Amino acid sequence: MISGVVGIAMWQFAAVSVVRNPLFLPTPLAVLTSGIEAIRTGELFTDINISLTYFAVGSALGFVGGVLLGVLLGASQKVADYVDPWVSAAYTAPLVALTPLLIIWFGIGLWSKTIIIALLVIFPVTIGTVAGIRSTDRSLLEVAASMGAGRLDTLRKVMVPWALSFILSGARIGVGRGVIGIFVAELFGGASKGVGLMITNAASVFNTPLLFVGIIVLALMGVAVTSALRYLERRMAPWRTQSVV
Amino acid sequence: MSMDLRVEDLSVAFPRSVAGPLTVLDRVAFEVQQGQFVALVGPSGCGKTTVLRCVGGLQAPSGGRIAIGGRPLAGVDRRVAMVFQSDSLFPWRTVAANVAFGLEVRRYPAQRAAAIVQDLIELVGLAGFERSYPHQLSGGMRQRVNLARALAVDPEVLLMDEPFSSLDMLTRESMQLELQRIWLRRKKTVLFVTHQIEEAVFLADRVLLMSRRPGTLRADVAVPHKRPRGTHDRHTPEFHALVDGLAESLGAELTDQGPAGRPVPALNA
Repeated sequence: MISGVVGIAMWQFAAVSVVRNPLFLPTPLAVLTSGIEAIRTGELFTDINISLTYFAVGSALGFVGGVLLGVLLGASQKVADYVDPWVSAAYTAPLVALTPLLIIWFGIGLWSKTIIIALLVIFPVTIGTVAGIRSTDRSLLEVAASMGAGRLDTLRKVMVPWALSFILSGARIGVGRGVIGIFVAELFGGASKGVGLMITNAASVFNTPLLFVGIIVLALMGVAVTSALRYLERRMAPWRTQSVV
Repeated sequence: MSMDLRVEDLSVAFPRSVAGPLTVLDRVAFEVQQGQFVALVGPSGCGKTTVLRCVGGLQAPSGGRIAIGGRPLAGVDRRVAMVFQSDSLFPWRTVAANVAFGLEVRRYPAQRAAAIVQDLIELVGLAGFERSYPHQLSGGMRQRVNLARALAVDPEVLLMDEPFSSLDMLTRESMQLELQRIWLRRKKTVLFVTHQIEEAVFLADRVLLMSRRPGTLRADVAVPHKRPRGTHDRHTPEFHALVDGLAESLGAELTDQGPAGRPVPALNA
């Protein structure tokens, strides 16, 4: 709360006293007015609606894929030996550069955009899942072994529950990348609507306040999902006194 | 057919790259009669936990045989269950779900499992805490869950690896009484590892003393005190004599005074 007020005050000060050019840096008030205008015309919600759809479908695909891949890599050292370097490479590679290619493959519709978001989300989730599974407490594994638990039971009943916090931490990092994915996907993806496109259009006509509205909306989407994941993590792993990442 | 636990010439050696194999256990042999409570004591690093892990199937022996009722154990066996040191409960499972773990893994029908779980939670004195999570329980309560989890699968032999070592003294003594009460009800064959001689003498029918590495069996002492034993038994001269005698042999082990292989006098009851 205080950080928000101070931040906006500093922004106001910088806009009015330092930059003094609304084209370079609009005042918070101008951004607010622009935002209200966009809400009034209903355009903002149309854009949010479309972007959220890409974001939700893409993140869900990325999350499920990331967990599955992570469990596979965590469970089998043999698979991990072959695939680990690829995952590291894919995590650090600028996957957004693939967007034009994905559009050639999947067209300009929903799929190319959700897939680029999914690609950005999947690898942090994979890495979190693998880290979680590999860090499973040894004594818990021995309990399972001494009861005669098989590989699948050990994975399902011990490793994956243990890894849950790590998975959700990976998802939090993934969501941050996914938000960037929305913007890039809409920018290159031939979208007709969406918050990312709104930002691009605003920038091309030097409508700086509207550009800020778009960025703030994307940031809020990221913050909302990240907080929800944090909440989930606390609820589902109350025995951990602090977050694993 | 009695279900005695028989350990014959159990040896464990770990390969080392430079110095040749490290012998941890050297031909350890003993027998535990069905329903007997035997404590295994020895200096730290003597391999007493290794003996337990071999019986539990978590450590492969390099030589020797382990059998229950004449039928050999190879690896993890359904006739054996283990109570681990503190904090080996699943933190995401409730008390009831922790106790049910072994039953789930062994595919007991849910209804039967639930009845067994409830029964054991009551036996270990945790009625009312079925839905609590381990992090909400005290150390003593967690060890009750740990015990119930092992008893749930109804093993022939119960292995206990220093289960009370992380508890404070008062909790530890009350848990020893509790363990005796529960054991008198279920009469399992118990192999109990501890480094505390008092605990061993108080709990066990027999105390096996192990030597320093490579671990061998040094003494086998019967504890004649009647059951149920109470706190007052800890203060009798007989109790102290046993504890002191064992402590002396253990001390000899630690300072290497006793020549190797020499039987400890007056203790081979």
